[in-house]
Amino acid sequence: MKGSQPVERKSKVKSLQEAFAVVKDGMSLSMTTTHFNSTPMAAMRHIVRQRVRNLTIMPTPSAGIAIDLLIAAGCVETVFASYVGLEFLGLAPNFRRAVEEKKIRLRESDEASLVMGYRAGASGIPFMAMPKYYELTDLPRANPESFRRITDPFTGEPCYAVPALQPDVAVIHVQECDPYGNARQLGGNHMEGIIAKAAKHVIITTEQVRPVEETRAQPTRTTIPGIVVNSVVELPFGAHPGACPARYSYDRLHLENYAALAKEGRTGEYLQEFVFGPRDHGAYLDMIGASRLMSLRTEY
Amino acid sequence: MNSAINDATPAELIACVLARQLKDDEIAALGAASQLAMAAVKLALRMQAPNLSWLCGGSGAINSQLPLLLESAADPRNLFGAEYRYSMEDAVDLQMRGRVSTVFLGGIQVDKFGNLNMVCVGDYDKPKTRGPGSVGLPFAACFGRTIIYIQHHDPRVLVDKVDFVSGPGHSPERAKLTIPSSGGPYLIVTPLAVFDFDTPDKRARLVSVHPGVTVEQVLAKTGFKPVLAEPVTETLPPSEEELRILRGEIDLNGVLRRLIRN
Repeated sequence: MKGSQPVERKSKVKSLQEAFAVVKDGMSLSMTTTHFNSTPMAAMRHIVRQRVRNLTIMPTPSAGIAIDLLIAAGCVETVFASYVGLEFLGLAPNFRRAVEEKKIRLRESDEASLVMGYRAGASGIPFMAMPKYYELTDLPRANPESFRRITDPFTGEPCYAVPALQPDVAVIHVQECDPYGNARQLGGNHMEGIIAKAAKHVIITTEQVRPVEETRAQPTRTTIPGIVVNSVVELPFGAHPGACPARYSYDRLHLENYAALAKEGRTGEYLQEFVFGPRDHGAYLDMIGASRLMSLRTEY
Repeated sequence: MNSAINDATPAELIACVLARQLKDDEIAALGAASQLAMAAVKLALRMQAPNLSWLCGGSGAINSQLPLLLESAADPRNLFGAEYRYSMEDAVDLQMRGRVSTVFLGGIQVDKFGNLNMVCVGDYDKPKTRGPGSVGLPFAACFGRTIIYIQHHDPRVLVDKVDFVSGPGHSPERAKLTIPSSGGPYLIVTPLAVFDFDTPDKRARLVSVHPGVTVEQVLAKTGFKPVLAEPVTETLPPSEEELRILRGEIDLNGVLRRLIRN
């Protein structure tokens, strides 16, 4: 009918293969997480299976297992490193080895330079001015590419500039998303919205695709607007072995097994079993098993 | 001394020492895997600081009411009973602007001026050990007081000079470069002893050793030469009330009874 809303809008729901065909060798990639929460692990396993190479990883400030896995699989050239570790399980062994053996390039970072870099990237601002106290740290000496000493044009005081971050592709895992990319994060909010605005291409992986009517009934609950989202992929338990708040907790036994193998330099065995073994995400979940997955469910 | 005092574990003692530092009406913050600091905040709220507010690391919880000590401050269960869920942008704004008055921090190395390192052991370009990274440690230039705590009192952790400065300690240039309200490192608390920085050049000073520990033992396990307080006293052990609250209201799972084994 003329003048009314079109009956059919284009859905952004795609298969894992279709959505991730945009990820090419040499690109910059962001994946959101805080420690073991809402890490898009199913998407990372897919990227490993696609044997993507020479990625520049622009993570959120507290990251770990996703980067460690991509490094072990040989997908990574450069990491913007603020925190790459396994929190209560210690250091990230593949990251540690790769840095010590100079197998990857580092852009030594911290929490504020990543958040402010993304904030600049989201608004299209060329750089962000940072306080002069960085002079007291070793960050500007370790990473002169990111921390440039400048003069505040208003006061004449020294300060530091950090560059805007605009990753080629950002992957964000959420609990609920409608077919048009309007996403709801339950539990933590780690800067997913700002990264979605900063990135050139955004892929939402979601526990569940929910009808747009739910979005419209409570628009204030949308935390990432669909207008900045390119694709939506439904991946239940897509953050396993990490946690997805309000859906399931982290799989401690699985994480301990990963950490132990990685520490012993046996991540290849883990990759064979859990990444290259199962042909797709469904087969991975079958391998983990329904009883294990159900035992992880949580309301928080 | 009564039996409750005698069976306090090193982790319970550290939690009590940290808790006693907190003041009513201030804002405290803690980082990732930080059960000791979490216990301290929850204890202070029930003792001298009922109006204390606190930021629970990566969970985004302000004023969590969870009656357990989780292994991860980022665990969303910390949102139980909280008043606000801050985002990562909020976390940067709140810290960088100087709104956090007391923070609990650690590192893979801590030096005599309270500099903190989470990046590397050895030369940055040829590290012997690569650490996870600086994360929020540069905010040490923004916090009112930084209370440093470590779980292993070891000369490889307590060093003369850190191999990388992630979080700035005391230095002659410090006051010119930090935000004005930032006082810098305030205490170092370890499983053996307590140091402050109350010296003319703000280097660490050994103020107390924990019950059963000697000054000589502490010096042998410390990689820098601290100034000695006159006299070096014994750290006040947990009171019966502190232990009762810790065990009965805060740490129902007994995390602090297993955390540090001497």
